[in-house]
Amino acid sequence: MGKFELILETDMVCMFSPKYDGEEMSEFENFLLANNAHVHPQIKRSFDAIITAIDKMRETGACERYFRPEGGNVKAIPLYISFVRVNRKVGKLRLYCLRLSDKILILGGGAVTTAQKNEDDPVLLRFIDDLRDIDQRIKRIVKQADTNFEDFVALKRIIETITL
Amino acid sequence: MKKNDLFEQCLANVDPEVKEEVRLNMDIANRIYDLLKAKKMTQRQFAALMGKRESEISRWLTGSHGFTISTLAKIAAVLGEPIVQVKRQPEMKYVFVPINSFISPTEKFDVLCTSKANGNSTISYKNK
Repeated sequence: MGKFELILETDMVCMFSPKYDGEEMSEFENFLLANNAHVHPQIKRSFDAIITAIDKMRETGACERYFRPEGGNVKAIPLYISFVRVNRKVGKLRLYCLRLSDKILILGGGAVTTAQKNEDDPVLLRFIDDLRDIDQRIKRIVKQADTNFEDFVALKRIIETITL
Repeated sequence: MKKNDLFEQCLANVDPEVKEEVRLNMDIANRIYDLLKAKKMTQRQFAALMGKRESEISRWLTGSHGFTISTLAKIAAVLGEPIVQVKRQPEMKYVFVPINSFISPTEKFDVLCTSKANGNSTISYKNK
C-alpha cells in the first residue's frame, strides 16, 4: 500500500512519485540517494544528464517527444548526452516514469544495468512492472470518473487521492 | 511551486558541462519542433525536404541527437529561420557631440604634461 507524493511542481508540470508504506522516501528519492554519488564517471555523467533533463522539464512540461517509450504510458528518460566510449561492463543508468500528460509525470525508480534488454534485468523489470500496474489502475479510475487524461484538475485529484 | 531538497542538492552537483550539453540538445529539439508547428509543417514533409527518413526526424525531436553544424545549417535553410545563434559583437555606434567653441590651430597653445606616476600624458589647450 502507498500513495503518490508530490516531488516537484511548477506552472508547467507536476511530478509525483510513489511512496510505499514502510518506506521513508519515495521511489524517485530512493533513486537519487542510490545514484547521486556514483564513483564511476560514466554513471555519474548519466545521472547528471537525467537530473538536468528533469530540471528542464520543469520549464517546458513533460512533452511526449522527450521520452523513450517502454509500453503504454511507461517511459524511460533518455540521456541527452554523447559518450566518447561506453564501457558496457560498467552499465547504463535508467530511470523509468509514467507520463500521463504534458502536465503530470510520475517519477518511478531506476538503477544501473548491464543487460541488453530490460526484460533481462529483474531489478529494472520490477520498476517497469510497478509502473505498468499503476498505469492500468489510473486508467480504470479515469474511466470510472468519466474524465480523460487531458483534464489536468481531475487527473491531479485522482493522483492525489489514489491508494497504491 | 514545490521543490525537493534532495533533488536540488543533486542538481547543484551536476557537472556544468553535462548541464550545458543536455539543455542545449533539448533547446535545439524544441526550437525545431516549434518552427515546424509555426510553419504548419508535418514531420513527413520536413523529412522529405531534408532528404531524411521520418524516423530520423522523430529522433531529432527527442533531443537525444547530436547535430553537426552542417545539419543545423541545412535545417535553418529549409525552415528559413536560425536554429542556433552565436552572439556577435554589437555594431559600433557613434555619438556626435556638438562642440560650441572651436579652437583653431593658430589660436591654441599646447601644454603637454606627462605624469611621472602613471606615464599618462594630457594636452591642455589654452588660448593665447
